[in-house]
Amino acid sequence: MKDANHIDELELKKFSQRVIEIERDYYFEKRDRTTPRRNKLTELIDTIANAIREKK
Amino acid sequence: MIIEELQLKDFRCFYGESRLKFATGSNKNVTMIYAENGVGKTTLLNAILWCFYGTTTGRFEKKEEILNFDAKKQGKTQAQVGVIFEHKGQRYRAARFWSKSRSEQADFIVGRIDQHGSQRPIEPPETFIESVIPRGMAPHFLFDGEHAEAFLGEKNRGSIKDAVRDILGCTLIETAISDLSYISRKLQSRIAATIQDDKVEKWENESKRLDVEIQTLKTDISTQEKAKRLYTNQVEDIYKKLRNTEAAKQHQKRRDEYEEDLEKLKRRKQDLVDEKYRWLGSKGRFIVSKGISSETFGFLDKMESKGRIPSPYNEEFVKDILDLGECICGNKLCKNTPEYERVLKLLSKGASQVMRDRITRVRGRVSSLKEGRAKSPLELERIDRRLFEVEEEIEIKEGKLGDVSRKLKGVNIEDISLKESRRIELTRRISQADKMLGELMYEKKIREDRIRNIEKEIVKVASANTQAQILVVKKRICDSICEYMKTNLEDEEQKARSHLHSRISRILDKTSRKTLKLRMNEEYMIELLNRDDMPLPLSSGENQLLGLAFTAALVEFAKHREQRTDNFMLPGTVAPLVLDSPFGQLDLAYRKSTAMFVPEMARQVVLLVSNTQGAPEVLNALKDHLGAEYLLIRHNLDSPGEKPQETKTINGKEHELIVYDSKFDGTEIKEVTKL
Repeated sequence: MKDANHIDELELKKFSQRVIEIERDYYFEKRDRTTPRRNKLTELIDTIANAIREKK
Repeated sequence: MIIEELQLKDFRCFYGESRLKFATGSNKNVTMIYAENGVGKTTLLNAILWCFYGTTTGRFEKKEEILNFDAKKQGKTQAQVGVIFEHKGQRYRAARFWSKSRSEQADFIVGRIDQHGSQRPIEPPETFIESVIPRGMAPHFLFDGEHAEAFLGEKNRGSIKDAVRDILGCTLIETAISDLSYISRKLQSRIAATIQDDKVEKWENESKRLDVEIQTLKTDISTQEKAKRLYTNQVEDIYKKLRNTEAAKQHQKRRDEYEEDLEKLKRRKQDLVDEKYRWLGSKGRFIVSKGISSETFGFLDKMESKGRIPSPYNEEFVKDILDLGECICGNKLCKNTPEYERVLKLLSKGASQVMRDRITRVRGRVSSLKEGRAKSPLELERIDRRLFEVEEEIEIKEGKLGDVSRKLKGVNIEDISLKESRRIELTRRISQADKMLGELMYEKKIREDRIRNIEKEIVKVASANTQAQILVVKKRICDSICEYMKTNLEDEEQKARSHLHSRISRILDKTSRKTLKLRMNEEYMIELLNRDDMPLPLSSGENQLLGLAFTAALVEFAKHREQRTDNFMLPGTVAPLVLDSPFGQLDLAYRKSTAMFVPEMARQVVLLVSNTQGAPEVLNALKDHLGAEYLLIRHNLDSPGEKPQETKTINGKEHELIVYDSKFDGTEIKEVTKL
């Protein structure tokens, strides 16, 4: 991973799978969990961005 | 999942307690349930659906009345459906209870059955059932065959796409895409707020406004598409009626022929237009090169006449003389002497091999342009001539269609002329909807492009602000993941499309009496084509067959996806296939050929059929796979009066289908399996 403009395919797959894991955790719940789910995804994006900054 | 047993207690028409054990063998995998109309076939299918998900099919009437009428009269207050099933080597029992005291709220439990027969509850039961057969997939396994044909065609464009997407397990990835798009929009707003620049704020507001407009345009597009589909269906209905009306059918037959011809002509016209574009791409340069090629030739000729081309001096020869230090006349050539300088000057005019090759190539290239220019207009003229001829033919055909329309309007039967007037009006509305759709899509595209440009501009401005820059990085990550998922989804859908296409084609090859070619579009809409690739109008039986083939292909696809290990999509599933009246619209020959492929449709198949659908030919085709047979018998409290007794002979034994003077009013499940 060079920077946010150059996330390679392998990393994109890894990040996408983490997104799906979060979606899966909320999938079976019948209540409307949209806000907590989106908050959790926002946290994930923050973590990925931090990891990219640290690597640079 | 394999269903072992269905247990009913005072559920709808099933009074008291009833049990039904299904065929579970790998070869004898078909359970046949015979019943006449209104006795409870659809209720059995809905009992399973209700037990697992608390819902019923759209066609299930008075769905809120769960408790059996007689049971209710006797003061009973609870109904129950239980299903014992096997899933991945374990046995389970799911049960749903309806209780009057709970104001029509049902309770649901699932328990794992151990080897001693006792049950351990699984919590939460809904989650477990969703993991066995996701709710979205269930309607495709518990299949209402009487409406099989409704599963296809223009009317159900949305439901077909949804069906495939349900089986594909797209739910997670679709929600993820929607969530990431939402987060990306939020980040965009935060970037604009962080920069605190009037220009950026203006852009951001514009972007928000455009976003709202795009949503409105999307709604408008969907409304127009629905309207167009509605009008198209109404036109098709009018055509059907005219085909079946004595006074109109000859005219309609001609119209069908003319429209088929017109369709072919329009496709030919499109091919010619495409050919013209291709010509412009490959030959257009010959025409536009007229100026440059004549100028090049003029220059080369002029230089040649002046003796500059080819050059009288050879560069290599001049260099050799200078290196040797001796002229061809024998004089010495020493550096810095006037003689040496004069010979050195010749180098600027001397032609090298490279130069000579270049000139030869230029001449060759320009000559080919000249030749091409001479031939190309002839090709274009030929295309234009053919285009003109096709356009003339189209005009003639449209004229003939106009004649047919006038004749139909002139038929002295009010209903026919009214229908024709209505068809003209509908056709006008279809073309209006088409125009509107084009405009709306264009407007949407303009706004989407503008939003993209605004985003780019904001990112440029953000590069000067560290905080904003961090948010830009986050947005890029978000957008990249979103795009990656969209691409994945498209790939999966493409694979699904080709899998379904080949499976449906194989089934049709086995069952249909015609040689049919299948076409499936982006939205999984299927059409059958004749040899000329023209769509075929299908009988309702053929439509039902196609609907069954589609279901079989979906079930097989779900099974195929069970082994998938990636976690992007929900995994596929092996589920029983319950087919309610699958042969209703098929003639005997089709019933027989369809019955032959039914056992292959799923690991376990339950067929709910009426007397005529369970004809001897059908049973004969299924006989090697029949593991259990049941008969639904109607019980009436009343006396028969004048009504004749109805019977059905199964496995050589005659059974009465109605019991009069019974103690209850409802349906009895009787096992008639041949031992």
